[in-house]
Amino acid sequence: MVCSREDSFVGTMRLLIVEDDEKTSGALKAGLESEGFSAAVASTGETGFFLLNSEKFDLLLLDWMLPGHDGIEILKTLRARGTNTPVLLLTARDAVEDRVLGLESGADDYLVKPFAFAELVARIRTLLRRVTPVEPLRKTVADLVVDLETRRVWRSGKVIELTPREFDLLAYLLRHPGQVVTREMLAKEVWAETNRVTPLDNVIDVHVAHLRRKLDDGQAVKLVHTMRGVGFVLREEARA
Amino acid sequence: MKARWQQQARRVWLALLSALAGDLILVGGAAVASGLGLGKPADHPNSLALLAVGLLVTGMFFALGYGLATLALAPVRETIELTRRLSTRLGPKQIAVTNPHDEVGELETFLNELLQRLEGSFVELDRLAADVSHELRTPLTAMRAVGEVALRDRNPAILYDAVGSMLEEIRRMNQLIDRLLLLTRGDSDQWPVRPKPGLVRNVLMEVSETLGLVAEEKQQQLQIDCAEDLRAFFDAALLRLALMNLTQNAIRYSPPGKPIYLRARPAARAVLVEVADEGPGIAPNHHQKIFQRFYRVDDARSRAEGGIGLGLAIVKWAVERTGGTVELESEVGRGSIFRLRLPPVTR
Repeated sequence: MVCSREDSFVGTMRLLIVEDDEKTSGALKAGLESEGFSAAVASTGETGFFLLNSEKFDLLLLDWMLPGHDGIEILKTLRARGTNTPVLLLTARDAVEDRVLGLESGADDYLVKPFAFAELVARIRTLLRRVTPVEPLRKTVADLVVDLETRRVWRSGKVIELTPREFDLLAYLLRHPGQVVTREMLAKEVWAETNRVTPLDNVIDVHVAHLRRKLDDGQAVKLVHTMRGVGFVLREEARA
Repeated sequence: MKARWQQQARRVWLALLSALAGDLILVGGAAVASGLGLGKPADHPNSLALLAVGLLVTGMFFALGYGLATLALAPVRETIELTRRLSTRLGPKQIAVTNPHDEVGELETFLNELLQRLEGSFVELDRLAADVSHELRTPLTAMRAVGEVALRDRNPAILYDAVGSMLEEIRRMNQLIDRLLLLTRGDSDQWPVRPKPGLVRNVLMEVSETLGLVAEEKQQQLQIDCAEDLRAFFDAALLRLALMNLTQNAIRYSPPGKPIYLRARPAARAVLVEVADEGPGIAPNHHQKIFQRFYRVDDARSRAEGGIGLGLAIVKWAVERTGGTVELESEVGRGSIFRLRLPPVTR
């Protein structure tokens, strides 16, 4: 996967994954390392706590359900000690009261299992970036120029007309250049859909298809790509 | 064991009370008799005999009371025994009501109603487990086949494609779980219901805006027919969820070029909101079952279109939760009308 390093990342960000399922933690570690992070894994709350006390981490990925001390206990102890390392809570519980409990216990964000890896990476980047929220108003990928303020778009110097929804879609893809964006993320962020059961898949697919037609038709370098089963990505790539 | 002791104690108490009552009657009777001068004034030798008679009578009344108490509580004991046998799922399903008019009978009738509801939940649970395993088996079979076949090949492009296909199935299983949880856990605060008076047209417009492009892809037009000021009593999120599902179905199942109508009008004690298409229509034998979870009119087609089989169950759930009802009017070859009845705004 092409990885565009953000300016705000100075050196490698170090993450701690506290997760008891080995298959999950192994995949997360490998995936996050391929995204340019360095990651350590703890399979119990105790080990996690020990590692947190002995090493410095930039972010903690914490599973709620752990053998021994559960994630919430660890989180509460951590916050009670004044540690302010960002914590992203991973959990299979998605009732409203669970979310509230998680956030009240000191989590900075909350991701319901099973989640898309792309969404996890996006959330991690957001949490790590909170310090420098300044975003340039004009973004460029290959010969695509997007002015986020005037909402105007050019490709190879020619103006491209987009509907408001298509523009929002493009702006969101631009905010995650080179990273896969899932349909769930688009539904939430571009369509402002608050629940996961509203059927929006084909709505999203159709809009992406339109955006692709407008941006890529007749161009040698394609920008909008579909990753089957995962989502969409905006990046330079010559397509056969 | 404590309970048994307490049951015994209650009987003893009843027996004691009955003995006391008996004695009071006896003493009262004696007093009346002596007052009337029927008996001789009690002198010394007779008082012992009198005491013995008194004790004997007390004992008899106690025994009588104990017997009565046992007799009176016997049906309760029987009910307990019957209920105990019922608590296993294999035994009889109802208590035989001896006399529906006395207290015990009432209790038994009440217990039977309770049992019936319980039995209903068991049946529902069995059906759910069967449905879910069936629904999960289909994508799992596909994933297994795709994975196994792809592994035989050394071609990375084929492997890549296989993983993509498996991820698609996984996505579908996740959607299935999300929707199923909504239906089974619907009563929790997962989805708070806040019905209030609102303009129906706004919701229709919103649905049409979201799905307009999807319809356009099939050269279909979404046509709204609804008065600007038509108001009904509804929860906007739930109504939107229902209409999104119905309209997507209409787009999916009606042929290219056919219009789809989103319309609403007032009726007697209700506001009618309809999603109508000029598609193939649905045969009458499906009308009753079509709102059931996982019921599919055309299994293969629905799956090929990416359907999970919960869309209409969610429509029914959403509409009923916001205080309305949903019905289907359809004729094969002419099209379908899904009609929602929403409570009107009353002042």
